Amino acid sequence: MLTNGTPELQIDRKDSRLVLAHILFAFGALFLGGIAGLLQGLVRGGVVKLPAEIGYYQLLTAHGVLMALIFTTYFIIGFLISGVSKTTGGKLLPISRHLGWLGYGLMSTGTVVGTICILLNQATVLYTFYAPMKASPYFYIALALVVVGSWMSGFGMFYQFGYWKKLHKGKVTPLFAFMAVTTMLMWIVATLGVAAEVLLQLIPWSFGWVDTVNVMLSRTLFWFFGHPLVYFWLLPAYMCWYVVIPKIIGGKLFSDALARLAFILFLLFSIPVGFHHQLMEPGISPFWKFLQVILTFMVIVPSLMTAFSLFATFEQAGRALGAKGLFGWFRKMPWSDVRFFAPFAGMLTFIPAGAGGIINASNQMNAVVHNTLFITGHFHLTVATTVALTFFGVTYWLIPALTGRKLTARINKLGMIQTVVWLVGMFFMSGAMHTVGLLGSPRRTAYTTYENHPDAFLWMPYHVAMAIGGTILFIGILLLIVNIVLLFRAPRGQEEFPIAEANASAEAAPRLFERWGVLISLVVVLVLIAYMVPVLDMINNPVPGSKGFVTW
Amino acid sequence: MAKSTNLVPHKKDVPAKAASRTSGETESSLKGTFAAVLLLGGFIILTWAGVFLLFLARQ
Repeated sequence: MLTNGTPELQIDRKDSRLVLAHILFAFGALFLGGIAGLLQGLVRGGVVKLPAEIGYYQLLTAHGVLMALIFTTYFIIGFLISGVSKTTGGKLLPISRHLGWLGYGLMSTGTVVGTICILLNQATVLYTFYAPMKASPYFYIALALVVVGSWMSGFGMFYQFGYWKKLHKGKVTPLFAFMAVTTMLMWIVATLGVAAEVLLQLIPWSFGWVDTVNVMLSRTLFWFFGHPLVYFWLLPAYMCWYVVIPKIIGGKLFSDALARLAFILFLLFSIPVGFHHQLMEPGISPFWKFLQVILTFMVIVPSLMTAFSLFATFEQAGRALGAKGLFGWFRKMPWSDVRFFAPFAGMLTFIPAGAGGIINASNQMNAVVHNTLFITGHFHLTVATTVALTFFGVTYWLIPALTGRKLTARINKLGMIQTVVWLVGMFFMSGAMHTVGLLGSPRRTAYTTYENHPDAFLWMPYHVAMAIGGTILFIGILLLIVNIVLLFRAPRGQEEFPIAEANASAEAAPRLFERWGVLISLVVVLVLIAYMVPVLDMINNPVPGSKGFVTW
Repeated sequence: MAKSTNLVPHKKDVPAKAASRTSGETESSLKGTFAAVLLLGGFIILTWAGVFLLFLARQ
């Protein structure tokens, strides 16, 4: 797209600035969160002791908030804005861009205030901010600003998408923009839960306007948001896999309609599933847990559709290049191209990550792994490998595409090294977490020998392996930061913003896929079926309210 | 059959290279994809069964 007389840029210069602001903020948060994560791993492994002023749980909160919430949200919004701009004409409407900047401002204010609260040790409530642990009210206000800011950017994307549809009546919408709108819609519905928790329960309680909090309700509202949050991380990675990767490997998207259907299923089924995080909690009837576990298993369907679609895309591209045999197409992939290799490493990691997720959501097996390091190992495979490596892979072409530079062979090679370092670090860290979790080692605990219990001694070598893996991962973050600096200093040129075409012989998407009123109604119906009765029960027959606790 | 006779002039219209690519796209074998999804499903079932056995062993 040629705009403003600058042929190098893939989208409008003003849009590029907005996207870059998000991407750079994201990596700043990743760096700070990475320092906290490194220290956490070293403390847990018994390698170092923290000075008395810094707490392990303070580091845990910083690591979780900065990486799982801030890095992901900023990167996702930046990436989605870039793709929406690219596929709807190469330029955002002024109102969409202004909403993007407003969102950026709100989120950044929230992040700064929230980080200060954590650094002042006023908000050591872990990243799940579970009541009855009570943080400073300003921490909750800060998080509310981050959420509201992300809504603004979402509204901007909706406006841009709606405008495109108005101008192109009857035409199929660009797949990237469709997926971005679906993702942001899912996010807005999901964050209504956490917004209700923070605004109606935590802020009044934290200010002392009310004495007690309904813990059961607050945890339920948190997980109403907490599980779709996982899909908010994952769907943008899927967008890269569906829309970007086929272009990079010289192929075509297997089916545009299948990709849209997968996203619609995620929109429908990723929200009414939060109880699978609360399977071990009393106070929720087994029937409602069972129902939400069934709905959780429905989410496996679009994930498996995605796996099929990716294999098919690879096989078709490989065979078009002359591949023979059952798996000959596999060798035809561009293995030395970091734009493919990093996201592919993420896809591969999603196989054990997804399998682990099915284990977590199964009632009996949840009893085996609940609150153990298995869970920590699981989400380090999903968000910190599958999603993170895909985002890193995107970064290697997105920054040059936005700055009018080239991804050089040298940076590509450094990117490959960085990806391998990440995989090795995660193999040790997450592998050890999974294994020691199955042996029973709890999550969310600082260094302890459990009064020299013999079982706890068996866990020690795994905790040391976690510290080693965490250190390698931190080296991976440092390499990434170096690579990003190099990308900004790369020679001028034109880097492709890869957007794949769909296979022309595949079925076109049915019109129902664009009937947003119908889709939103279905979301509401499913949410009401899954949540209305148990939540009303929690409100009408509340557990005894709890005063706040400062455990740190 | 009317359908197959229709195909002949259509194929002649396009250059040989493009024709082979088109047929490669539409008739491409997905055997490898089928095998890959079966392997993926097998892996999921094995890991699930493994932890379920652990659950039973700890009962």
